[in-house]
Amino acid sequence: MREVISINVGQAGCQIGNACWELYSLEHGIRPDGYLQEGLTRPKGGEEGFSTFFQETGNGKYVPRTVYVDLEPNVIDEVRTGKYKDLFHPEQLISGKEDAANNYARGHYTVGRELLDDILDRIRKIADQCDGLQGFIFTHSLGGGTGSGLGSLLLEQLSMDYTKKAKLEFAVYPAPQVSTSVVEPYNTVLTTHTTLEHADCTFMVDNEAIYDMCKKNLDISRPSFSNLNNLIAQVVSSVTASLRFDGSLNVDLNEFQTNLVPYPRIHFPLVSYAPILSKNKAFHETNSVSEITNACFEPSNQMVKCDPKTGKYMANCLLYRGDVVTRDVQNAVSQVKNKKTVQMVDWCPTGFKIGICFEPPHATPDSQLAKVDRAVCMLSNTTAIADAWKRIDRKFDLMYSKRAFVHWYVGEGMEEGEFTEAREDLSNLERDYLEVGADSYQDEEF
Amino acid sequence: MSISVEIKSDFSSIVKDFSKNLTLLELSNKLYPITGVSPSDMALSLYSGSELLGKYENILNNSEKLPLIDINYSSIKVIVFDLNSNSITNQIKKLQNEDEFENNDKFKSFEISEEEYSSRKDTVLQWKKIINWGDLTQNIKKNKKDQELNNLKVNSLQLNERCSIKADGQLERRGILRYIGKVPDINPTDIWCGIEFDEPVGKNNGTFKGITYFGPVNKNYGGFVKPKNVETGKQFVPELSELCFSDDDEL
Repeated sequence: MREVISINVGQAGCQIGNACWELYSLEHGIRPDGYLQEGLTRPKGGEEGFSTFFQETGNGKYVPRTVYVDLEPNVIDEVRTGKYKDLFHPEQLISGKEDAANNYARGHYTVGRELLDDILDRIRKIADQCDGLQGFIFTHSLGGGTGSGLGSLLLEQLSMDYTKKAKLEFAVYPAPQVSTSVVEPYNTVLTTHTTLEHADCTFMVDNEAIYDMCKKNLDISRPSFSNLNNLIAQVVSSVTASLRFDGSLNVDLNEFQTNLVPYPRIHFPLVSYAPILSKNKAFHETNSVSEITNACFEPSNQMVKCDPKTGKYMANCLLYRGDVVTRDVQNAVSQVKNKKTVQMVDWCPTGFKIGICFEPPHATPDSQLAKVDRAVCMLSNTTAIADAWKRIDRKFDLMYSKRAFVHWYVGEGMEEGEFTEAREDLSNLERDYLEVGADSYQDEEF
Repeated sequence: MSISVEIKSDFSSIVKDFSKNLTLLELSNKLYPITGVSPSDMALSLYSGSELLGKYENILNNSEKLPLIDINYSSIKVIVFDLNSNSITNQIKKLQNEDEFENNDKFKSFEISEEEYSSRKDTVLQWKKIINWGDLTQNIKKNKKDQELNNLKVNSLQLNERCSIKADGQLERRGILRYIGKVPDINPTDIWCGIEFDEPVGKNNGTFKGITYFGPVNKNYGGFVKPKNVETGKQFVPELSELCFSDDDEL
């Protein structure tokens, strides 16, 4: 057994969590009440794979290995009363009464800390029911008060309590189109600093990129949070598919770090996904393996806005799902390798790690995303993602030059020094990316 | 009863659920941490769809209930304005606009100094030192010096003349200088010297990544080196290197 516990923190985290568990349930043949769909005797995906994410109770019911945490009750109340209310054990849904008011310090030091013991207890209970816990997957936003503050507090704590377990993050990077507050740049920098040494691998999802995909690819004129979260869930599902389904090429949680992270701080792979098609376009597309593979190198399929052509790749994983044969994959990959725009760092073997999961992706009924026979998710560690840090650092600097809203944080007992400390760390991170992309051959002969 | 409220301001754009019982002051206090606009500077416009439900200013002195309790809408929109032109949000807005639309060179992003970066333990730089990798900062300095040396040297070199190549930590090699110029597939900026060696001590045949710069000569008789390591002149006659002797010795 190699169980994985999903921890969803804050509004964005919980809403993405919802979309994910809806997808997971569909993919494994579980009904919203936690029982098997009619006609099934066992859940889909093979015992080993399925049990990483779901726990079987005595009477044929299946329960997700997850906790939902939010400081305000609204979002989790929706889970408690929603379509999937019976899927979860009430103890898995933890909400407070007073929100974090978009303030990292409230999530991390004051309001959030009061809930901490309770949350750790519940996680401990779920962990005790695992035979061989592999690790945790965190889903949270970087910009929100709960997601950033409480999210990083939990990650810190789990890093102490479960030293050897893998800790992966899906982190929503803020965007002006769907900004939850004026202080998102502060929260992002503060939480990134706190989690930098505790997370093994962080997949960032830039709301602006997702927003554009919803508009351009899915023809949604004014994308809502639920549109964005459905798309994000599809991506999370692709990344976790290899963990959830028994297959010829299985990845476990540690392997993400092993394959993608050359140095612990450089742990922010860029995620690309293809195809992203609306239901009425899907009929007109062939979506061959080579087409979807190539699409992963298009900026419009990236989850974070940055330009990989200007950066260098350190590692690449291609995770295919559905009707895919190995030979087609090999051809597609060798095509990609010949692209001039795909530049690898010179100290890294130009390997592409391939994973194939034969279960095709599903689409939830209210998602605009078409159901397709095959899809691919590319995880690439590229130095270009440092652009995202540059952008948010700049916004932080503009605000901090006026000391704008710093008193909100100080008022919650946070020291102002934490701002400068965090900002310096991010500056180091930018510098680290320069360093890791630098050629090592400077003086050689050819 | 709650109502979902779409909030728009210069720095925010989200949907939040609020109680329908909120007073105007309570609402503006909730909007403060989202929009950054202080309730004393706040003006609100409430919409349902495109229909204007009300406009509010001077909120601190207004104890009115919001006209929400009686309406049947499940969602409304509130647009938040900042009436104080010198407020902190307006100052930041101004800075951001300058940043976006003008070339804002006067505002420098915070950058860590080279000294400070090199003194930190948990960096890629330190890691590269541990695994014995080139040091970027030193390389940059060294490269600038090398660049000057290379550029000076190029003028003194004679194409198609005998030459000697002395690189750091390597034995002298001799051959004929066949090419001076850029090799874009190595890097787009540097000038390289293409050498036809007397012996197979090079790395190619004058061709690099499919482009032939000289020759082609025999395999491994060609190579590209930095100009600073090259001297040309008739005195560099062919000589048998130790490499050849040692081969013979073993035979």
